Amino acid sequence: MIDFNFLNISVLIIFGFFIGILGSVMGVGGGVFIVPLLSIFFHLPIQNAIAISLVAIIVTSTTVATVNVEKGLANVRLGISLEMTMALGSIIGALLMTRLNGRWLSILFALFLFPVSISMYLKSKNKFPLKQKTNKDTDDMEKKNVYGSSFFDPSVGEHINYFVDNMSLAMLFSLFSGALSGLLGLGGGIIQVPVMNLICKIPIKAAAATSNFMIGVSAATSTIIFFKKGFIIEDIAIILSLGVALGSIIGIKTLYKAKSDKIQLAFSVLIIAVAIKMLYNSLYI
Amino acid sequence: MEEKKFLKNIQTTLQSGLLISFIFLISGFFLKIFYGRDFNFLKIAIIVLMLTPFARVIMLLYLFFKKKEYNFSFISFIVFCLMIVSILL
Repeated sequence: MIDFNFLNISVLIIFGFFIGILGSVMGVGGGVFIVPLLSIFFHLPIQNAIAISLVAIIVTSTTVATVNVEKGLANVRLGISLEMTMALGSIIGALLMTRLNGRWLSILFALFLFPVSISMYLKSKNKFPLKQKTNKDTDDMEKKNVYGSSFFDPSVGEHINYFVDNMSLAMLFSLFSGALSGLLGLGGGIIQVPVMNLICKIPIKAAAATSNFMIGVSAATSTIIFFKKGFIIEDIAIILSLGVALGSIIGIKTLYKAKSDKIQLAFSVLIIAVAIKMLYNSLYI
Repeated sequence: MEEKKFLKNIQTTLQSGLLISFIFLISGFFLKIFYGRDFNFLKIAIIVLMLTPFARVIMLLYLFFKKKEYNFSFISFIVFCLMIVSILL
């Protein structure tokens, strides 16, 4: 158990602060960093780390959503529809997590970090296959599709209209991302953002904001299960959340002008290192 | 109800949840420092935090219903039921 001295409390708050900034600026980063920190550096059982990570994810999601929703960036109708399968997935994931032992969870988590790192690397080199040209233009596009929406993009200074493709396929992927979220304590944005961008063909900014809107609901669904099982250590969750909330608020202010190529590259390397360390720990210790 | 007001309502729900949780969190924190125990305030802060996404879904259910978008109101209801399932599990 963590000894609550000044150093540990400061580390948790400062760390939470950076997670909050990352989560709100890049749309990913919460669970990927929180789970390893708590399990490797603070020696918490991975089940506790996963449960606490999800609490922090609710904080980021909710804080960021307070800004994004009103701006119309988050597509609420698309979000709640995909949430049907994502919430179901997160229940399945959470139940699975309570039945797996810690060693297997660590190995699964570490293995999942490899594709995360690769996708971050590709993004930093601008080689990630994101759709820049999405379903937009014509003013009556909105009427064609109940999920169609529009938002104001300050970087181009105009309103962008778009509609949504392939809902059924996106629902299927949401089930998967929900399950992963409940099982490993990740938000699920790592899957949800590319899915909405590549499959639904909506603009990346709308995808990121909608994903963030959804993550809070599915994280809450699995967190409730963990809370009842007693996996959440309140003191740690609260201190970390405080840092995360502060970081998210600062992060939102920079959401529009974030230029994060170098940060992404650095993190892709860091994540690989974390993955190897976690694999090593779970296999040999 | 126009779209802007609809979104504003959801935003207010989220902000209220965060604020209430934050109040409990800070009070619990100081109680723990000065009295040595937090009277479960920290637990309540986490529960409020977990219930904020819940409130968001209930709000969506209600607001879509008011906007006569019954299909989305029904979808929100399904998500709400899933969350109830997680409480009952």
